[in-house]
Amino acid sequence: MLSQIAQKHADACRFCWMCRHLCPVGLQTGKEANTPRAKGLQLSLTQRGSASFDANMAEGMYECLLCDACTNDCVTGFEPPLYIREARTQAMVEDIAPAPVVQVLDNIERTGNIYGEEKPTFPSKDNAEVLLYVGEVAACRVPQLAEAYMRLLDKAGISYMTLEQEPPSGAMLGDLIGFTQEVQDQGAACVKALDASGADTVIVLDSYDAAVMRQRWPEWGLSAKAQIITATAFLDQLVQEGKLKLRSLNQTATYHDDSRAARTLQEFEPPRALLAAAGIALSEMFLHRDLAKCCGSSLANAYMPQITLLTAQGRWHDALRTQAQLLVTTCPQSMELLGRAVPQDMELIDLYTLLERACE
Amino acid sequence: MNDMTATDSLVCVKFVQQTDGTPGRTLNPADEAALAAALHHRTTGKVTVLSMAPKSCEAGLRELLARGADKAVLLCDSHFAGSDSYATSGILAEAIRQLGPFGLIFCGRRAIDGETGQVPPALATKLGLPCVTNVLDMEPRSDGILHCRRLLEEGVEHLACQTPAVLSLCEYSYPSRAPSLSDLRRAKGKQVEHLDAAALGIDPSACGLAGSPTRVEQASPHTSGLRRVTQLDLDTFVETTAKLFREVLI
Amino acid sequence: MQAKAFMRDMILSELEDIVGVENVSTGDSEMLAYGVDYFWIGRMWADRGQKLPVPEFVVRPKSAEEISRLLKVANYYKIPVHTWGGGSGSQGGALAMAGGITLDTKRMNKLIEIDEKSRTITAEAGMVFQQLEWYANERGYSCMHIPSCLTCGTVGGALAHRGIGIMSSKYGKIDDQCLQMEIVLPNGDIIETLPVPKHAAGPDLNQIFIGSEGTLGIITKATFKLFEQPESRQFRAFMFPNLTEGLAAGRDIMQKIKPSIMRLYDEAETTSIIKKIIDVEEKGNFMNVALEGIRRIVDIEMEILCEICEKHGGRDMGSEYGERWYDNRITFFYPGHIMDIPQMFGTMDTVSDYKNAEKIYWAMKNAIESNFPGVRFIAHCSHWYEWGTMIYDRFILDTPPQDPDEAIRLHNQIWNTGVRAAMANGGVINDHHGIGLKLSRLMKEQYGPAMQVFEGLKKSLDPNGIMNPYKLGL
Repeated sequence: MLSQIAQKHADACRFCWMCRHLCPVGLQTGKEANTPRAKGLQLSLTQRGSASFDANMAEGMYECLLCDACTNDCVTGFEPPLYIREARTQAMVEDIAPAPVVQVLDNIERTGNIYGEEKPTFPSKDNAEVLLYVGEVAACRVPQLAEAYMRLLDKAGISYMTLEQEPPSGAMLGDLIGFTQEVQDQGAACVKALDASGADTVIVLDSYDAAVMRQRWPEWGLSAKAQIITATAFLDQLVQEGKLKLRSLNQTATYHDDSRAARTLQEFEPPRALLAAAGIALSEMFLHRDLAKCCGSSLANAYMPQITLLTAQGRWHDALRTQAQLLVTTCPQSMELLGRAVPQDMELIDLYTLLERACE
Repeated sequence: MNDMTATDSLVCVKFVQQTDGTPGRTLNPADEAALAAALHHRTTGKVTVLSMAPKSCEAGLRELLARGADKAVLLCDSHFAGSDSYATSGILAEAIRQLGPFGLIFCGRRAIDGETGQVPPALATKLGLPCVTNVLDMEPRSDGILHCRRLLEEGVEHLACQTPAVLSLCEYSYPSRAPSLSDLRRAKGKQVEHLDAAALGIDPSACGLAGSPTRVEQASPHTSGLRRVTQLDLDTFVETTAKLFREVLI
Repeated sequence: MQAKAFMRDMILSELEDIVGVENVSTGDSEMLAYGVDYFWIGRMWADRGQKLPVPEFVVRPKSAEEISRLLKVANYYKIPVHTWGGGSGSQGGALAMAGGITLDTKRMNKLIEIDEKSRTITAEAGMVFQQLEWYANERGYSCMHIPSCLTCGTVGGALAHRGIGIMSSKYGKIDDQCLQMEIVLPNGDIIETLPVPKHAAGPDLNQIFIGSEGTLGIITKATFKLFEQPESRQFRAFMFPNLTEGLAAGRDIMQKIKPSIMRLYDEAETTSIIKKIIDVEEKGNFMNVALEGIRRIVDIEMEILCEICEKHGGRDMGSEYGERWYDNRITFFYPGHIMDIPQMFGTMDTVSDYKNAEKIYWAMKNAIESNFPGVRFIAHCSHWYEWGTMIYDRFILDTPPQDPDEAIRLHNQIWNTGVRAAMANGGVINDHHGIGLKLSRLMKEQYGPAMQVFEGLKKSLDPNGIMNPYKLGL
């Protein structure tokens, strides 16, 4: 059963076609069910009793990256992810979520991360004022991005620590089961750990974590004592303050804005300023900044890898039409996803590894 | 009836018109806090939500079941229509007598539509219970004494009171809590109970317009003192401000 | 199709063999997405909890070759095939009224070529039109096909119903903009129309398939003109004393210059629009014009425009209204702005020569308003030619009958009355939304014995009648 607010949004979307051209999943699968309209219609029909919320519908609700491209496009302010998230909650309540989704939930319950693996730890100093929140994707799948970032901090003379047991922020679980109490509890535990560290600044490497910390935590009545800043914004400050000197790399690149940075945090300038500082000429993809097409999320990749391969290819298709042969991103999840489909003659690199080259 | 050993609590809620002019109703903000407080302080007892409302509000009550309430009761009868705060508190009191006993009765301190704030104290009077209004937070003690902080015009008052009691909560005093998966599983299949005037044994002359000593003659929006606010992007802001300056200066 | 025992599964494996298991859907919930398009009856049906017209199989092919194989299978088993692009048609044209297969074209969304030398763009037909426009924009061009469904419909959908965009008066309708197509015939043969149109090699094949609504074949690829983006786009609005003068001004404008956008509103629409935009109650006939292209030419065109309008009593209202309208041109189509359930509504667009235009408007308005009390009728003219104009007539009923059968009856009576009034006075059954299921029954009335041309085509190309049954009167 949907909340009244979610039902209002689903009813508004059920007969509206306006945003389908932006859905990264729909554009690749070509399925009518992969449109916000279809999902709104299906849920609206269940609320009217003329359809039942079955496993087939639940599966469709998981075929969405929650990238907010539709929300961003809606001039009347409706939010398909609102009812899609609630439908996921409902799928869990009814025990009809697809098996791979349940497997990921099981992984989170066992290990705190979507991979069901022990999360690697990173070197840490005690009692530093700055804490680097690495996040599970960077830690488990893209450690080179995290390590490059740490070396940049070292070069800038920033003393930082990491958490030995880094609790999840709630971002993954919230996307998997909707914003239930369990997700808020994860957020609360994370706040507690951040507060206990004594850090006054928390640098967040993964924009999915930063988005939930900045946007959702306050809604849940949670607030960390420390200031929360994205890794890119922090680095941009260091360069502006002259703590990190970059030489010109004299290259051309295109930049991928990941969906949470683009549409929740609306952080566009820091990565571009950093690229400019390293002498990178930017050849933008046609859909960039708040219109950026999502390449897939690590969570979706964990339960529907066939579809996320298509969404990653979809984003590469945009990059291939630029003048650049180098695609840069700051998002560990984008690194994992785009890394699955690098076309011939193209190179994928995270911003921090690239900046490290400009420091040498 | 209500007794000091009762561990069950009850929350009175009202569904008010949407403030943005869209159709449908939404839970009154202070009542959100009342429910959150009841769930927060729930120990072994059950939380019942109670609303006197048209049948269309049943969906709203079902949502509160999903958000952790154990039981929901809708007081729905054509005779109830038009009840003022006096009649309403009488109907609620009768329902509470039938549904109880309750250790604590939570209300929002006022509804954003009527803005009377009269129902909680009236309800307390009719039930013969103490009433604490404008509650910010509270601490129930095992000895049956409740310690509350209540909002005053220029400060905060600490107040102790015996239970059972009627409390009216300030808006946003307790943050709303999302339901857990287990709450939601528990709520599956739960139905909203309905009670009408006959079931409550209330004479139609004691409710609705007939039982209400006051009448709303007219309601109209404020016409003076309204500010017109438009959100502008930076470029438009600069352009508009420059234009305004030019108009004022020239 | 009558499914017997495991025959359905046998057919399913054949479909899966062609397009891959992941590109065939049969799930009940997924089918619901194909059960409602933009057609009012479909929406009302969904809103009132009725069973939706859904297919048994949805297939999502990736190429013309796969479609060819699918159609051969469908023909063998005589299974109906309904082609679905964006599903944003307002006439019920994509609904699977005969069950069977819905063929969703959206996986066929490749850009094939941008030929800057010839100024053309070629793409697969399942591409959402906005994507095609963006590909053109990336290189500094535009297709100049800007309908309100730009973001909703596909390339194939625009062609299949013979669509039009807001810039049509300067840049043409989809049938003017499309140069060449690839089509899969019902028997599975893949054909191409000639490399270019405007030849003398018999009738133009393009024009047989543009507007055929999936009844004669499936369009899989198309080439369109590319236009340079205009250096300047200028708006000007005018208020005319009556429709007669407004239409005469429109004709004179089309004879002398080429506006891209030109919208003339009847009194009812004028009153509500002017009120909304500038908060003034004003009567008359409002016209909003956009001129675009090279700035120097636009400046001269603007002078001529103002002269013509003045001659016909048009009061100059400046440029602001038009700019505002253009910025908000698609806002109208979002929830809360557009007409929606529970209202009953429809657009009875028709096109006629200037001689009959006003007569048709009054005939339709009188027929609807006198026969159906409570129904409002409003109209504007927004696609213009040297010889005539389109009339975008809309009816709105705020409280239609609750009973779905009663609602359908009234809906169809209103449509019959309005469209017959247009046809009786020299108008046509439809201008640019197409026929679909909504107007299928009136095609024979419109064409008379000429209908046999279409029927002959249908019989020879689709002898088993599997292609989009019950649509287009075929």
